[in-house]
Amino acid sequence: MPSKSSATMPPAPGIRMQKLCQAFDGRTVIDQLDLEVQPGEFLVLLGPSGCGKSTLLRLVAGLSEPVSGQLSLNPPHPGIGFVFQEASLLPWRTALGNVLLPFELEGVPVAKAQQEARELLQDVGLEGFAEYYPDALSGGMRMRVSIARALAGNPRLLLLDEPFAALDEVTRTRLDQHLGELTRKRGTTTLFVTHSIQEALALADRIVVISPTEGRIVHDRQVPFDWPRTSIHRQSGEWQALARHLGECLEPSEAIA
Amino acid sequence: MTKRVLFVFGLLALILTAACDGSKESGKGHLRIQFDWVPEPEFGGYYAAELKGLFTARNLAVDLRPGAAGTPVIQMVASGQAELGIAGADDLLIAKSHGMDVVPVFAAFHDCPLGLMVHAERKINAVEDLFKSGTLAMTPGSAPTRFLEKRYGYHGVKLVPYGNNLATFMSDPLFGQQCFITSEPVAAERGGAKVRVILFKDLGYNPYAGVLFTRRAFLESHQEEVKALVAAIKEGWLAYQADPEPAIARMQSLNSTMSLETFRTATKIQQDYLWPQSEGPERFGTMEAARWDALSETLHSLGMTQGPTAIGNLP
Amino acid sequence: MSRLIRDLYPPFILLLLLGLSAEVGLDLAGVPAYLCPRPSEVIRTALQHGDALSVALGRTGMAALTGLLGSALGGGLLALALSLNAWVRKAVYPLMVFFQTVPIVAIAPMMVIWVGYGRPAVILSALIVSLSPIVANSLQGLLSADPALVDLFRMKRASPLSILLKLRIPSAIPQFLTGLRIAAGLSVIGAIVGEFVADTFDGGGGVGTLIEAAIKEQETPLVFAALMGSTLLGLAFFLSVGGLSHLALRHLHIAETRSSS
Repeated sequence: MPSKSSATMPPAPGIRMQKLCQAFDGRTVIDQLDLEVQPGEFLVLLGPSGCGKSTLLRLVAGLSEPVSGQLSLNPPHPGIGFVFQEASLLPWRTALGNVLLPFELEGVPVAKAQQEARELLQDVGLEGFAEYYPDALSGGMRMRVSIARALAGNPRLLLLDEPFAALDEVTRTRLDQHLGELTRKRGTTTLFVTHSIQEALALADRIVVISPTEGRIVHDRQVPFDWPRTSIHRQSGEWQALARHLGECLEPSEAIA
Repeated sequence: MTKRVLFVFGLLALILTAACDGSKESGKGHLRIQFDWVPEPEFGGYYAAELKGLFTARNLAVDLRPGAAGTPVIQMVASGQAELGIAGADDLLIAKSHGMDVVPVFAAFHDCPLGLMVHAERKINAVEDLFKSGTLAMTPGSAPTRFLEKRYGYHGVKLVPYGNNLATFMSDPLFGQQCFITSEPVAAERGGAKVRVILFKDLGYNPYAGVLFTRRAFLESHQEEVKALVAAIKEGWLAYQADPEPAIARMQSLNSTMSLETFRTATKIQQDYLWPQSEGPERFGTMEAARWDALSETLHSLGMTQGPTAIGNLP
Repeated sequence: MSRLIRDLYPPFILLLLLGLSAEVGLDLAGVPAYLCPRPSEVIRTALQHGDALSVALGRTGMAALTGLLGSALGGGLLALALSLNAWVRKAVYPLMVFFQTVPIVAIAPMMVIWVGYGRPAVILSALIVSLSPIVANSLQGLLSADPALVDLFRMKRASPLSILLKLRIPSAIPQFLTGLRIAAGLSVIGAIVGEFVADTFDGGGGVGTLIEAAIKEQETPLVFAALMGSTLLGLAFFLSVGGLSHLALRHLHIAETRSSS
């Protein structure tokens, strides 16, 4: 298991998708999709529900096989962390116990696992809550445990599927900040799915819009703001214009330019 | 969804009203006789009487109602759901001692057709041996069960509930069970077993069986009708003994699980337990007060009644 | 515990009111005692036969408990086996309908030939009658583990045994306990019905043959008293399992109804 010191850390992977197709029950969800993700990039997949964003994430994670097309990671076997829409913690384990789960499944020695798990809880700001059970944690805290779990083993690729959609706005904003910092500090390649334009702008290096009607990318845009993103960025004219443009891209009835 | 719910409720209401109607006092002349089992030769005389028009000839509207296992005949008659019923003499005396004012009017079986059925190959020196080993299926709490306990004691035999025991009987040579002479022994022998039946009457327990009874209140207000009914039933039994075929055909149509052959065999076997041939047919079905008194003493000594129970004047 | 007592107040008051109105009403309506005994007479009979009733109910209770434990173990294992293979599941599951609908009276001769009369047959009857809800509910629990967590385990290349032990079985505990609660009441019914047809009586029997004998002896108040006792036995089973289930889930920090975590 790679440690966190940057000297021995393997590089973050790039992802290449070529003419990727996926279908369910005869319905094509992803149609001839081409996408190249740069190593270390924070890429947001933006789109309304049902446009195949989650499906794409699952293909990248190796949880399903595409009908046709190529999907490759370079380097090929990075550690992958997945954060789901719901925290999905094991209720009978403490926060620490939940973060320990991936270590257990990979056969990491107990002492080492315990040490790393506690560090991860610290990273997500939950160091005092290691012995708490999920039923005693708020929604936001449970999601943070889920993120800590996803970061176990220092994955080089992080996949997040609308993780903060069920949380209130204040918690959401705070967790967006937190996540953005974490991923940039660790230098992971990150794919983040959301249908919130503001969230996309708050987090992404690059935003890709997927259309549900066509099952492929209809807009691909670098985000011109530095990190960290402050209220100054948020109130700037450029931000508003970009948000408006993305809003138009998401309208299914309009013809996309 | 609402339509279906209403339909079900309507159906239930209909069933309930029909059921309730059945329990009301019937109109004048309507006599409901509640049997304690399905139509079988033990009721042969009743069906013969019906078929020969012996009831209608006396202006009696008779409704023969088949029963089944567990039909509470005595309670039904006592509470007015039927005018008359069939039960064993012992059950009637016990019911009387619990406050049900019932009166017997006719007994189809002069001798009790119940007994113990065991495998013929079983080595028995005396009846006592049957209660020292093996298994015995009896009705829990019944008078014969208590009688045998008092007379012989259950020292080593395993007592199990009577009912649906044939398969177990066939597979276990040390299995014995209560039986009705025309029923289980016939079925067992047909299945290939050789059986030996020890009748309760030969062990000293001989209540009247197939006793037709009514409520005292009904008897007192319908004396002539009941007398005419009993006369018709007696004639019916004599007719059944002379030629059982029409009644057998009728009963078999109501109880098709038994073959005609079985009906005929059972009819032949039960002959010895009906009115004794030596007595002559005129008094078929009459009962002696002395025998009822003796039974009453026996039941009292078994602790099944509070005191000796008088059955009252037999009509 | 205090919540349990608070929950029992309303039905207790209702029963008391029903009993009092029956006591008076039955007399007013002129219903004879042999048809429906007065509650006071039933209670008096129950006290009179207290020893015999409690011994009989104790025997029935022990048989029901043994049957319930057997059905919990067997049912749990069966559900486990069925959860592993879709083909087996589709083939076997309809046969479970047999266990749900079989009248014990019909299979009594077979039961008796397999295990003999007396306690073994009664325990088997309790087991058969209480098996279905445990299998059905446990199977549903095993198959409805959080799909996201299943994905997580798969991504970490966990062995099927790992997924079973660390995810599916713990996830199924609430459903298993729901099935157990239902099975608890059924096990008492199963034991009594089994006693009706396959118990040894004359001294060593449970409440089933006691009821049968009381019916034959036309001791209606005793029949009612025995039925009352049987109902209390079933209720005790149901409440005990419910309480244990509540404690277990609390200890495991698992919600009683499935909710997203």
